[in-house]
Amino acid sequence: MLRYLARRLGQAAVIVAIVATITFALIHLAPGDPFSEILDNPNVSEKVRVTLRAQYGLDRPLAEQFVRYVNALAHGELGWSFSHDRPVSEVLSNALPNTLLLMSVALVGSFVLGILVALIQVARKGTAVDHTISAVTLFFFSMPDFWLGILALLAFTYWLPIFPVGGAVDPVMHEFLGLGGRIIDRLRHLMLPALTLTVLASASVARFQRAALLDVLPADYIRTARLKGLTERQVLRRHALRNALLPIITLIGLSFPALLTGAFFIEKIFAWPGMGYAVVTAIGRRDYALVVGGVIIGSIMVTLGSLLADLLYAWADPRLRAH
Amino acid sequence: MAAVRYTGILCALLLCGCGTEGGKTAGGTMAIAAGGDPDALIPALVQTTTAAEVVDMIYDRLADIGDSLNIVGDRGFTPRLADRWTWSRDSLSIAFHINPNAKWHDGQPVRASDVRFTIASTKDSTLAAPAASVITNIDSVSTPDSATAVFWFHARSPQQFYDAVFQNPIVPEHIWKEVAPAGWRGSPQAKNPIGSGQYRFSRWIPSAAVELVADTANYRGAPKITRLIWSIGPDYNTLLTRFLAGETDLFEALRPEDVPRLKSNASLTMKTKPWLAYTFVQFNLRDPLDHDRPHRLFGNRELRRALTMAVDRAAIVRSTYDTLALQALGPTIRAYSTTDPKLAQIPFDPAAARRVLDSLGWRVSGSDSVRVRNDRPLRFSISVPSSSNLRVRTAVLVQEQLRQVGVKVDIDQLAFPAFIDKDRKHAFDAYVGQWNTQPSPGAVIGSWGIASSRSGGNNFGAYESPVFDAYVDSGVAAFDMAKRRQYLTKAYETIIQDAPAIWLAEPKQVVGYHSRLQLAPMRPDSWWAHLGDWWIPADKRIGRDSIPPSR
Amino acid sequence: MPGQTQDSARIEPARPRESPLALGVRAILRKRSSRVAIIVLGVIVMIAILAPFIAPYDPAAQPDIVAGKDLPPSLAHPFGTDPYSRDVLSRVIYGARLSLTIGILATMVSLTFGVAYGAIAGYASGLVDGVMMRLLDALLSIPRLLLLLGVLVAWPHLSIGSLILFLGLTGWFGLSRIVRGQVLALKHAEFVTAAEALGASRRRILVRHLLPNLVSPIAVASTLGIAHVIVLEAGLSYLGIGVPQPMASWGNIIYDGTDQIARLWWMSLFPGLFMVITVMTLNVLGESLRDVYERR
Repeated sequence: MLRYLARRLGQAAVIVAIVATITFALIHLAPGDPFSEILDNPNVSEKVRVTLRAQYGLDRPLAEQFVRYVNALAHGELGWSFSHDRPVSEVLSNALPNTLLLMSVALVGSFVLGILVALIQVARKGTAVDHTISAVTLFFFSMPDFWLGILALLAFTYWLPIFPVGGAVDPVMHEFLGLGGRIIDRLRHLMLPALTLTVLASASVARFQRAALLDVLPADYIRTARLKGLTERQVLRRHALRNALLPIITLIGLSFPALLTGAFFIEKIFAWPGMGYAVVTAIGRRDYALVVGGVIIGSIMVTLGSLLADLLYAWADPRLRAH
Repeated sequence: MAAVRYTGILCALLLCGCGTEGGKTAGGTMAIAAGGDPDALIPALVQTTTAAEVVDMIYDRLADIGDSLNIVGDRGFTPRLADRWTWSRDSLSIAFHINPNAKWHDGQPVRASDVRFTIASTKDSTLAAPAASVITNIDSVSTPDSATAVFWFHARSPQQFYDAVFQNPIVPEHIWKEVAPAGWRGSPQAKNPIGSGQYRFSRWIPSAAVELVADTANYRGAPKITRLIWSIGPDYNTLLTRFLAGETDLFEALRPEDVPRLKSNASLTMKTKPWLAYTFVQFNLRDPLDHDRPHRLFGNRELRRALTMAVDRAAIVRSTYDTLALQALGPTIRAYSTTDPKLAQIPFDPAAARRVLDSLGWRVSGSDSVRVRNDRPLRFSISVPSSSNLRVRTAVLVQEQLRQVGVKVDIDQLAFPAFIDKDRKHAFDAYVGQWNTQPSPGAVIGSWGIASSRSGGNNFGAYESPVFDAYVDSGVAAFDMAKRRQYLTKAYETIIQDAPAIWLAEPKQVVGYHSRLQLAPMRPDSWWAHLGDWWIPADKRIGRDSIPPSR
Repeated sequence: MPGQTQDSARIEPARPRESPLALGVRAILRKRSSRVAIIVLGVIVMIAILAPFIAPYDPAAQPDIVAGKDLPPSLAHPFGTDPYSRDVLSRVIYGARLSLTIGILATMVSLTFGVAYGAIAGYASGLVDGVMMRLLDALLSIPRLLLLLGVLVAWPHLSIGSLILFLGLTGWFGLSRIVRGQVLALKHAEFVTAAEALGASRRRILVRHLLPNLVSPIAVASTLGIAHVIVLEAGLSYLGIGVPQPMASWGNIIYDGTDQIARLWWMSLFPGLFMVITVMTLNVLGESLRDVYERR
């Protein structure tokens, strides 16, 4: 087990290193430099721009920039975000909790909702209920993240304005509220983006879980359980679900990239101040360091997610525990 | 929240925020919709509107420009940090006397040395201040005593007073002297600015809010509204929704389409004001790949004129701005007193455009509707920043109108930095642009003059007309107003007939605001110029107005 | 699971050999949901092909940019008009054409790369395989959207061709892993060793047997891949870096309305519905195919 863990950790490290190289190369191939944005001002001279570029080391050869970058990375530094005027690590660590909050609410929500829906379907397998729910989950499964986001925004902030639009808190009043008021303010802002992401994610959980349940139902021990005289509902709950939960662990790992991508669009649409929002904004402003940092952190999250799922699986599955 | 809060320090310094003056009770909170974080809270480095608004509240100039935006001599300028000034006999220096009551927000007095320090820093190339290139006429500042700052100029010019005061809000030397100018931007001081303006900095939560509170001990008197909060939103829709929901009090960038929604809301009202901006489609007169050669299409003046004739500028302005813009006159604005509003334009005449294109050898052949000459189609691309929806819209409208006369246009939608980079490298055919200009009509040289085409300036299209330049120079140097206007009119006539661009709109600014706000006059270049005089009547206050001032 | 495999293995010899393609088609026709999907998809494809005859207006024409813009749905314009006074219904119809084309072409690029990369890695084995697979792991752990954003920002002026290329180039990672697996399995299959012992060229055997074995993963990957590309293209267009004007793709139309979402709701709703329906049918078909091939 320990050796397995060490090997998987080593693999993860290699992956992260390759990701860093790829993203650095991609971003630096881009035309344009980060100080172009201030050019709409007729007063910025070429001299000013040259000075700015030198200040940020952008006039050095690419290779040198990369070596410096890797060196800094090894020391846990992700560089300087000039569009925020603070270290990238600070920008991202400010944003990350919001993304994690959104993702974990959606993760938990979607697994609860998804498994529940799957259980209902399997219990009524082949009935109209099952088919209808299948159609509904397929509909949400096929829905582009951003489109559901747009519809949710339209429906609940414009047509039926029950939720506030944009941000994690009311920017004007939040600081002046009491503790209870602040919590309510946060929840009000979290509700719509989290619900949207939950609905999106639970569609795939439900579909996956329904298939997994149907896979284990014909197995021998289920047959034995039935023969023992347990009701179909008891069989489903006690035996089938427990065994079908194993693939769910895999799904947690698998759904991480999808959740993260979903969070990107959701954060953009609802202006949720998370990592996705920071990166999308940084892309527009050519904030090299921030984009690369965001992609690396995103990839680390995905790598860690699958690592965690693997380890959980190894721990849960007796056959793998021997390793 | 990792954002550092300085409220604690400020509370100790704050005196009581309540008081009455002429029946206008001080107090209340005004929330201002902002499209993004300020880019810097250092006056010399400010580029975005939000930053300009915040910085203008925290810092003061020596004197401020009058509402008429006169820039010749010192007429209309009102005292700020300087309570009086005297010109030297040869007009090569101006001595400003610092108001003895003026104090920085940390209690230190404002001294002449702060003025010298500010100018020296702005001119320091390691700071990379955009304003540096505009104040080149200022040689230096000397301080004969702690209350007198003397500006020395290289040459006499009608707008030397404007140059001295307008670009240079004064910053405190004792705060900044420890930091090398190259490091100002990222310094802790930049995140907790100390100024001498009517509002003092309270806190800045990135992507959420910037808060200022009234400086009750200010030498100009306390402002009426106790607290200003810029509520930062990511995009137009969010800003608009928050404004309509009453979460913010002022929204400065309302689009014409949304004016009806505002009118149906009793607690909101709006004001339309002139703006110092004009939009255009600029042609590149040089080959995008080889700058020493003329552009294969736009090197030809007749072709540029024909394209201008094919575009229904009035309809495009109506379609994009409804009634909230006038058709642009050229590279100028009506707010300049030197601009003749009847400048003659190239008429909209598609038939004439077709005739000219025919005569230039661009003919429609066969079934394809695109004109061809020597087997090459009449085709070019217009680049636009995808972030600006109005510009994208303009490009799509122009594309279709040119299609009507047999010209094929491709639209390059680029992220803003890539867009401006392409412009700067002259690597474009045409682009949709907008210049937000300055109170001085002389600024036109920076975007259409020969010098700024050759030395990496902002004349991206490389329009180079010695005649135009000479007229502008003469106009700017003329002390006599009639002469000034006469020369500038000649300059505009020259450039309009040369058609280096299709002039489109001169937009007005629509400022929506909560009707409980009592306004002072808005200046064309900044609605916030007299914000210190705005007030909220005690009987009309809403929830956020009752936040206690000591918070 | 083990029991199942044994069952099908026992039945196999009794059944006449059937090509994987025919098997797929039969499976699709057997299920009601996939029959419906085929019909709906057929209609959408017909709309795409016949766009010039069906669309009521020229999708690029701007009849009246002052009075005809931003019109809500009406009899004359069932899906309303956009800020340029163009007919949204006509644009949605032409959008079907473009979105489907992009989906199909980009998926073809992905297939080519995925098969080539996977086959090389599987065939080479050893160090080369190890390096190629680590690279693949890294590419797989960058979310596709992030990778695309990085690439598209690096080359901001994109023709449709290069957009298709980039969409294709970021979509082959999963498939190549499956292909590699198939190649490895084949390499160690008994009949290959046997044929080799009989003097046949190992490489020729692999090539001859590889393709038939790949039909099923390719069929699944391409149906689901097209769906994925359609959604991605729309997402990119929504972020403002997709299909250029005046062309219409579904994502593009939505993007044209984004700065006025509240007012121009018809510009988000209708193209989005078309997109979701198309993606649904593709997902249904892809999954029926997967069911068939995986149960085999």
